[in-house]
Amino acid sequence: MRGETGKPQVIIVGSGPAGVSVAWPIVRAGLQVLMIDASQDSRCDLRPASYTPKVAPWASRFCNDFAGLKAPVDVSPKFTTPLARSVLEGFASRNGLVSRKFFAAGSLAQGGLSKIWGALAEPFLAEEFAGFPFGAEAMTRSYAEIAHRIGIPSASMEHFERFANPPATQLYRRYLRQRRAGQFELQAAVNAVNETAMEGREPCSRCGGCLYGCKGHSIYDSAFELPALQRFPNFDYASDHFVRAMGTDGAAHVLEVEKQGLTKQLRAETIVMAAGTIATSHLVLRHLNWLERPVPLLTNPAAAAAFLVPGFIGSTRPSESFSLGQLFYRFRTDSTLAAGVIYGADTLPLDIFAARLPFSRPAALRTAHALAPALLVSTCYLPGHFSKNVLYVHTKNSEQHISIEGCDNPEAEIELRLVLKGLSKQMRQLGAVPVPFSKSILTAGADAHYGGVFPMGGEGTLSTTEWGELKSYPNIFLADGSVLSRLPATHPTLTIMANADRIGHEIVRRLTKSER
Amino acid sequence: MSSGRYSHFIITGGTGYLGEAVTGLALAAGLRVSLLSPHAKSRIGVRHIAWRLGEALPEEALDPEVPPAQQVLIHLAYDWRDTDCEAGINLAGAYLLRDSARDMQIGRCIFISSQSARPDALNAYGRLKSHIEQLFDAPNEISLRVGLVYGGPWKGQYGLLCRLAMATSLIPMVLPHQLVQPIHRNEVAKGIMLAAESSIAGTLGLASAQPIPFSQFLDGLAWRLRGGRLRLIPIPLSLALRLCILVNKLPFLPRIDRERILGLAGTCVISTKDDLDRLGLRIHPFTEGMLGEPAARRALLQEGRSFFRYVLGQVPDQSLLCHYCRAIIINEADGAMRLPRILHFAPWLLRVVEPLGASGVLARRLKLATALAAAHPQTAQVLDHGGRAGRLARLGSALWLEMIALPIRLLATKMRQ
Repeated sequence: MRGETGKPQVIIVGSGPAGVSVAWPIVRAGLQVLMIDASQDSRCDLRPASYTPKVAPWASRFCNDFAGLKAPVDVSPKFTTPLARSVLEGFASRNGLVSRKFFAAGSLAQGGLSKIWGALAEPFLAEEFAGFPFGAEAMTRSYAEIAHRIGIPSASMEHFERFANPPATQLYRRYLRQRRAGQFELQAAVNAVNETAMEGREPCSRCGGCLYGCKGHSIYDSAFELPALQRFPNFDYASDHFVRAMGTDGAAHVLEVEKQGLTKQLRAETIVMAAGTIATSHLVLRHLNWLERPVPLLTNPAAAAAFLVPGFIGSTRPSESFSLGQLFYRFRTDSTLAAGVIYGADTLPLDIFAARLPFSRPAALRTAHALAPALLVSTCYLPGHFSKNVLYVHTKNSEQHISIEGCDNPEAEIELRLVLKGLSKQMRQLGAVPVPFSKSILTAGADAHYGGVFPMGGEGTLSTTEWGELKSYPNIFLADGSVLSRLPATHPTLTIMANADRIGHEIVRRLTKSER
Repeated sequence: MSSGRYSHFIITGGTGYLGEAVTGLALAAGLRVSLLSPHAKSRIGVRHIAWRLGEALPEEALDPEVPPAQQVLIHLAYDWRDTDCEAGINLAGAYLLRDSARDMQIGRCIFISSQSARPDALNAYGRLKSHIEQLFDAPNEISLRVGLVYGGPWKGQYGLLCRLAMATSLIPMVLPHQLVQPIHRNEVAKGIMLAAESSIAGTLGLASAQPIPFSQFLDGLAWRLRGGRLRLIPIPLSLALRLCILVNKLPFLPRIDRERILGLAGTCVISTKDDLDRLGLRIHPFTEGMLGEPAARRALLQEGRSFFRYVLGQVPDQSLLCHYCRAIIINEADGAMRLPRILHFAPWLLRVVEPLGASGVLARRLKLATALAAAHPQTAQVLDHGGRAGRLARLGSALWLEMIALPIRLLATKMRQ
């Protein structure tokens, strides 16, 4: 079933979660696949954790050049680490990305943004598929496939108690005792963190260094799947391939690629764009000649709040812990369904809290130290239709750039405050006290959940088919967040991966059918 | 090896404040160096030839392996005891040196003069330098008028000013608003190297093109060396000269040369911008140039120590201090803040002057110190000490002190605005 000329039948742009997920069904079907990305790391291997160089705590926190000290206060700590800097590095400059009142994250690295994701792997509810051209049942197989492949553990109480910190455990137990149907639903967070050894990945050791790069590779990163894919003879991976433009030449689609400063062309009958919403939108809008015309870019308007479980104030900070999401909640208001994650703060750096306290520094440090073991930090996300961001490609000095503008939406702010108020009430009933003045509305895009530029099953020039295929250019598939028809409040990464898997199966169906 | 025209430097006064810097730079550039001085001072790669000011250039000063035309004479030596502008040892020595260099057909002669060189200078030093400049008038000879030199070891005039800036916060000073043109010692050395390679003849200014008041120079020294301020009391020249005599009679005080006071009083601004452009030399502003000085690093360490003692309540670990200094140098490209000395002895006083809000240098640096401390194991030891009861007690007392200090902090913040 290989390509007749030895050339790839499918080129996948991007090695992030969507790229890898779309690749698996196609590779398993024996079709010739070339995956390209712009990373400078040509190696696809998983070094054992013991090979990972030891880094001093201060260096992993601030980096050798202390650039972490300049991190803005109103951005998630995960975007301020040295790891995040290396992952985000070069993306904006190479794409000519300019953002205004918007936090735009993208990556050229192998594995893309999955290197710094929060790892929450929660599927959309059936009702959250409203507006999609297919129902939840169309995703069931893909959700199961992805969960099995990346090692998502079962959501058992035993598992939760092993990973959750004491205040989160107390909170959840109380919730289970008091549970009644209503607007607030709380559950143990399901994270893509393996609890048994997988290929090149060790079970989570609860070292607490989740934000700074998991030493045991327990937190899923799509780059971890490249060695397994490379064992297939029909799969090729090429790094340092930055796609500058797309084109069409007869029956084949052409990618103009920059490699080590030189430009070359890659051709295939089927192209899958999985470079991340921003990069994919940039390339596709230019291909569609959709210039200087704004396009809506969906994000989840986000807020954060802190809660204290008083019984734990002054407790000893644990030597080991798990820093990712502990609990996941959904909150239903009259008009929408919001969602969020509750994190333990016991192993987070004290200065992050101290910086927010209006005390003198010694008092702030001591207060942060005493409160940290009792502190829970919650995020809150609204569905994407509350966002008012626009993205457009424009020409400047004969070069095309991408601009994103965030726009304040008073409606979203009112809704977020409403949800936080309701959440505070629920948390109070569960024994957690809201920390005064801790509620904050985050900058647009701070959630890093981007999507909806080319909605599947939508109407209009920019919409795609139910398989994420460009209507005006058959066999160009978009497999990342850019094709999500809606952006519900639930974290979209797992759904993006499952959708990519679904698209991958469809590509296999079509290519094998045409070969027959 | 150097790729320039010259490969051997003969330096008179090469063991002095400026001479050491020139020697070091020449050696680093792969040049051969011979030092002419009465006292042998061993230095790897340097040839020492016994010579006194007033003697001609000895034959053995020339490197036999290098043609004379590829050798450079740099005349730095000066005898401060000589004030005779007609037949003193400085003038006679310069004559002899120049003539012998010309006889030996040395390729380039550089005379290091001074910004104060004028026929009508107040001090003999300025008048002598002016006279000697006249001697070096051949096409391959150049005189460099060097401004107020700072940086490096505490020697010469710079050493005296550093000791003054460190010793006191209040100095009686003649003409504090007199304009001076500072230049770093390493920049002077670089300027001499560039002058050697150039074909420029005559007189060239080697000093900052942006003059600053002398009071600002001294205050900048106090800032960089000890993170403090230095206030000057203007006094008349006659009184300054009398005080100089008095101070020099008292034990344990820095010796102040009358010649230097007169030199400062008689300094005139020279235009150096074109000269520096011709040489291709860039001179850093004074406060920036001082940042690389060991004393400036020490001041930063002292600041860090005070801040950590305030934040942690105990003397910080050396590694924590090193992180602080590196973080400031990398992130802020600046040195120590100006803090009242009392804060170094009693850092807990910062509790009442720490500004509310995050703006301002003090608030930013305290925040930085807190962030670095929070990531250091020492902090865990300090804060975990005493069990839960102890932690809660410390939290209570910290918040209680916070309440007491709040009104004063509010007032301090308001006053700073």
